[in-house]
Amino acid sequence: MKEQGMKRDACREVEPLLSSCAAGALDEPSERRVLDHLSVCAVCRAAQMERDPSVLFLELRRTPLTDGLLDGFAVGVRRRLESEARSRVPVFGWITAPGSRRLAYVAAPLMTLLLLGTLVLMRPGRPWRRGAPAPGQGAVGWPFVVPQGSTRPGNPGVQAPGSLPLVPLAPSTGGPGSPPLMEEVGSPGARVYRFTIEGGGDETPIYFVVDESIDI
Amino acid sequence: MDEHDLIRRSAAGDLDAFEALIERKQERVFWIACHIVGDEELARDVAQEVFVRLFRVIRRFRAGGHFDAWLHRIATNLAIDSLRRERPHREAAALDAIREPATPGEGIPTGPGTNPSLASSRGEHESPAGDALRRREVRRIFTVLSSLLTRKQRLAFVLREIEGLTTGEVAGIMKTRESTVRNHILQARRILQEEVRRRYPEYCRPPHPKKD
Repeated sequence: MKEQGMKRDACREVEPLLSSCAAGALDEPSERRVLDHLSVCAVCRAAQMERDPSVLFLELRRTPLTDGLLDGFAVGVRRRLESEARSRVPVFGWITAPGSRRLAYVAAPLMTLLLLGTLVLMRPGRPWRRGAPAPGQGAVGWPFVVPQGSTRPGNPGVQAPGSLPLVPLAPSTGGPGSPPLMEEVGSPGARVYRFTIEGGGDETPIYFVVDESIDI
Repeated sequence: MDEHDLIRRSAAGDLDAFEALIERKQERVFWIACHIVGDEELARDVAQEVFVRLFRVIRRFRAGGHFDAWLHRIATNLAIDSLRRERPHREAAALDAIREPATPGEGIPTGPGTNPSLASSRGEHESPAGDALRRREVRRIFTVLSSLLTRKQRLAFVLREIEGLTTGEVAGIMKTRESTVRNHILQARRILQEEVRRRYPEYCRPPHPKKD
């Protein structure tokens, strides 16, 4: 009875404010008081529905939860956080990892570097890939005389390729037994060397074609 | 243990304290999400995401700040994100519900599936089951009609009218001015008033006089 009496008092207090509230003409504290009352008083809410049907949704303010809807919710969130924390590996976690795992962490990048290095060094176009000696290494004796100022055709002023071992120029005697003369007469696509043996009655030129694009 | 202690310990990574904090805040966060996304299961997922996100950023919370406003901002942002992802499906469903033909024989179109007996009962002296049914009905109507509001109007209406926050708190959550919040709420009210009158007139009739 006492509670009902208090409710009626509250209703009487709010009643004169209802129409102003529907018109949106109340200051915030008064409006808040009216809405708080309407959210708990079904009778006043029903009366206000004619003026302002949007108060219907004040009923949602005190909605109790569906049974069991949030049961175990906090525990579920906690489990998810724990599982996320376990799966997150720190950047330098390998330092404290057991020996075998630590070895794997170190070996994997080293192996990758080794593989990449091998691929770079052995890529096509490298002379030593085909067994040719590296510049300045593995030169064999050069039995020919290179005429002074010998240049590649089409590249005036450029000396014969550095991959050719330079031999000291020796004056050609032109007689039998003297070394043959060599000069480069190649084309842009390949190097062509011409050998001639002066003297001895045989002046037939011999051509030696070097084409680096041919991989034997 | 008071809330500040729980927040401080949670920020230090104490999961027991964080679990206790969740227990205190879960219901409000759930309802904010539920009123925005309009679906209990989806709201539960959103609420879980809110607390996971909260745990990740709780260290950034400055002592003396308004923790609830901060938490509600996370909740509204994630609920809106979720709504955005679900938008094509949900809005289409809501619009379909609105477009359903009116009940034959009645001059005024009513909302689909409305139970007149639920509308006539005003929640007074109802059984708990009847109350629950009526609330579910009202929530369904809100889900349908709130799809006609803009996101800001819906957010302002949910936070102030349904969740009962002050205009200042809502402005803090929405990062806007109080006058803007009031404006959003007035517009939302107008739209809802008009649509409830038009689609669910049975809810707007005056209550039956009591027979003594």
